[in-house]
Amino acid sequence: MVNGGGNITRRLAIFAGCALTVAPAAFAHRSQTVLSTVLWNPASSMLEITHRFHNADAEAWLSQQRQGGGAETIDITLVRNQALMVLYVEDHFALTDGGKTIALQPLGAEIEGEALLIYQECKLGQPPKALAINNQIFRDVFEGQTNLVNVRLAQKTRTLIFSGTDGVKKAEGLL
Amino acid sequence: MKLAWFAAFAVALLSAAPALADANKQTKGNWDDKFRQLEVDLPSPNTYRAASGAPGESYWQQQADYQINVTLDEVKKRITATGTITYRNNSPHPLNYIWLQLDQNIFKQDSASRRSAKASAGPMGRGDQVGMGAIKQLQSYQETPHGFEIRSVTDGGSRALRYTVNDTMMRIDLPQPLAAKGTTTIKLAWAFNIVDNDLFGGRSGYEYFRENDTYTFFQAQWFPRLVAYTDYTGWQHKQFLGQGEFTLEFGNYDVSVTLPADHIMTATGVLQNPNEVLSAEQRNRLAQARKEYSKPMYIVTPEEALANEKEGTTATKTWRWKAGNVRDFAWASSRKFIWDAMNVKQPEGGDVLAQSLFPNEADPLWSLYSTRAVAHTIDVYSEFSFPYPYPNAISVNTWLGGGMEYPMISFNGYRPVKDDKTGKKTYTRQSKNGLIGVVIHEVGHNYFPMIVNSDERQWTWMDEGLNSFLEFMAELRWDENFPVMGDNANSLDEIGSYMMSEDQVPIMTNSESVIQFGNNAYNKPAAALTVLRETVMGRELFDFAFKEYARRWKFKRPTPSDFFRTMEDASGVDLDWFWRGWFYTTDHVDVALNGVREYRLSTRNPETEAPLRRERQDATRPDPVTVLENREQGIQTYVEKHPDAKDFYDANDEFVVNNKDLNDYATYQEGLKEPDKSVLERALRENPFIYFVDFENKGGLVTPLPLTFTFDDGSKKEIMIPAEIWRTDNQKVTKMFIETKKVVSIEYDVKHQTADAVRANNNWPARSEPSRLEVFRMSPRSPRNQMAEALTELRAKKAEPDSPAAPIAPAQ
Repeated sequence: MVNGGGNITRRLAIFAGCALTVAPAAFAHRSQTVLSTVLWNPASSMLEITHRFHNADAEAWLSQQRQGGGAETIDITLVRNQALMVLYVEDHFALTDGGKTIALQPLGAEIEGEALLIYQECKLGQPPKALAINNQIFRDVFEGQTNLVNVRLAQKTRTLIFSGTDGVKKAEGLL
Repeated sequence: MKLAWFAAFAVALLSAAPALADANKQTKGNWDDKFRQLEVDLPSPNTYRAASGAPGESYWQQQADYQINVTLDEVKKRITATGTITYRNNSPHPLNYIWLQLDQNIFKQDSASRRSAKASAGPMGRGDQVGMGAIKQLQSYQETPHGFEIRSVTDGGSRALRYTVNDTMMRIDLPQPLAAKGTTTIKLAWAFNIVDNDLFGGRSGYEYFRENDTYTFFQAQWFPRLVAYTDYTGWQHKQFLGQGEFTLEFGNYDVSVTLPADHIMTATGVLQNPNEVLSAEQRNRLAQARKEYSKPMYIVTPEEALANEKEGTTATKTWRWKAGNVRDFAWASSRKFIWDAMNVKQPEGGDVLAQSLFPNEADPLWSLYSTRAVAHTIDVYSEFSFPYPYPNAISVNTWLGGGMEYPMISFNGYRPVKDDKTGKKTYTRQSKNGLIGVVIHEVGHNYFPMIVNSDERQWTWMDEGLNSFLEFMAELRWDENFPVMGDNANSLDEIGSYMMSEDQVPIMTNSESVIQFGNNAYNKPAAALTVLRETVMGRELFDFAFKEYARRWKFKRPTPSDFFRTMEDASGVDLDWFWRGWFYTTDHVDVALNGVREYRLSTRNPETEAPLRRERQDATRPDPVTVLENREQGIQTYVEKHPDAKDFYDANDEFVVNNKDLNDYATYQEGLKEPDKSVLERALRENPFIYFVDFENKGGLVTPLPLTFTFDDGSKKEIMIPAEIWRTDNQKVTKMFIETKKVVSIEYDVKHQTADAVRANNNWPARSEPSRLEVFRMSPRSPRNQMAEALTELRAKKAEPDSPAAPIAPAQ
């Protein structure tokens, strides 16, 4: 009651720009997923993040942006549109270490085959000891969107899955 | 595919200890025998399923024949139908009741699937939000209910039968038990409102084209279908929750579909009344298409379809279809459809008419590639399995990015986009590859599971995994650079990132409990079979065994053990280690090449060996830095200052040959007998290089070791060490190699053929592998300056106060 506001009725905004919010199609062929990897590179002392989008999903998002006036075309091969995606990712993917935000810098983006890859990085003195991740990518675009984040800071790889109402998740036991 | 609720299962699954009923236990120590035989874990062979993996002598399966009359009300978007099911009980058991699948009920507002769905999250930091889709669905339910309306259930004599609906299943109680080998008839009448696929998702429905106020209809799971009754699980009792697909019986279908008279339709089966529903021109073109083997030709042209979709009529036509020995029946209709076709000649089977039906919105992409991809699928899949047994293979354009399979017919996505500036339709490389890939995959499903009728609700990998494997084979025969998985033509490079994760489940996990569905049920088994074919078994043995499995179980229902056993039975290869590692565990492949030690044969002649030993010591033990610094400073040692303190040992080091050494060597030579003496003499003449190479299995999954040796003259040699090298120690092994030339480097898995997930430890001498970001950073093709400029511009624009987002506010 306290956490949820109890019986207080609140106004609820419908997703901004959700005109194209896509219902959960039952793909027998391809799932609605963004795969991200968070990798500690000991050689460079960098935390390296790669987000892999299916191009069709990225272009569906661009189409939505075009309706809102953000994108001029829905061609994800254009650098400007990839930059739009980079900014979107900045707003929808966050890392913290012990509650302190890890400031990720955009490195760039590229197309490889069916995938759009977006890169972020952050120079750190040592791998994060209490890493937590919030991944909201495309969860305001596709109903049923599920995101996977592979985290590898040393030998082990953990996969965090973000779907439904999932918020921040901790990546523990990796060092 | 809905993945949303998988996470809820993940923790429970990952924390649960595996319940193995294995008589073998390592009661002391922690030895894990990765080659332990599977027989104790597989179901016992019986008269239904033989130990060879073939159907047993008492194998049985049920049969369900359907006669259905269905009418589409295009205005109301509604299906009304009556049908007669003739059910033959081939089991040895009497049946008191019969279960039917009511899959449309998943769209009921109170279905178990909808009630168990989780809420979607809003953007970060904005808290709870509601999607437009959810609001639209709510409004739609207020106007139109969904799910089956069962109007009557009677026996063959029109006597009402008692029935009970349990979510997506319906039990019909029989007045008398249906005896073994007996047959019963059930008559049904039903109706349902078709879902808007864009709004409700799913595998069927209708699509509305707002820009020209037109529709396409694609109907699947549209009639009450018999639940499978099997020797291994009785009635299949798992409800349809949306992820695990279908478990079905074979049967013969006679379906009459009444539609608006200007619709073009296609379906599972063979059209029985072309003279009544097709024009003379269309029939003539169909006849021509049956003679065309090189490229598709139109039955309905784009121009004719465009003209037709602008018309509309209240008249109706009835299309009658028959299909023999199929496990399902689906259909599609629209006045928008373009229709093209070409014939496919099969070396061992009859001709197949490959066809596509699609609206103008899907062109030019679909005219170019859909039907060609259908034909290519039949060519490649038949080579790997059996001749395609049906006369038609059809691809229908339906929802964006989708793909779903039924006997003879598949529903596929991908369309071009219209360029706003030029008004022309264009398509990207991704759309082209996406279309070709999805058509191959969905048409390929005709083989698995439409004909090799595995249990999809139970074991998704048995159809999706085997089919994805063949899909990759077909794609790489379409184009050697085809991105079969992600962006890569080599699936084995891609699967490692999934398999390394601690948060995965074995392939042998029930469909509804699988997490990371695409990787687990599609990609990993496809990668496994690629490793099996190209690296473990070799093509000759694999292809024979795989084809044997497909042919043994054609039009029958295999289980996982039937597949595992057949592959071994037909190849003469013990693959239990492979099934255990790839299908029953979450290990991954990561072999480290930890070290190499080089040797030459010793002559044991002290006059030869002593100088070599001295040389080696000099090379490996440089003078201590203290000694070097002393020399630099001109510090003399005691014996240099006092030469009289020197003796024999100062003049001769430990490697000087003495008489005892020579005598020992002479004794050794005298003791050498034939044939050892000749062997040694020859070996010393040839003087080979001997290498001891250390391997460590860091990923846990045992694997063959394909090695590439590079010699000092630049030549190379490839060696395949079988996986059995890990039999008695699956953690660390050492292998000896004797070479005539000096080796300068050794690399494990040069061809990327084992799914090795960490390539940085595959080389001797060690070679570091740059990370993906480092590769990107170094790449001259990354337009980073353009990206920086675009980011600067967009950030400045974003800072302008024009955000349309509405905040949450307390109610007034």
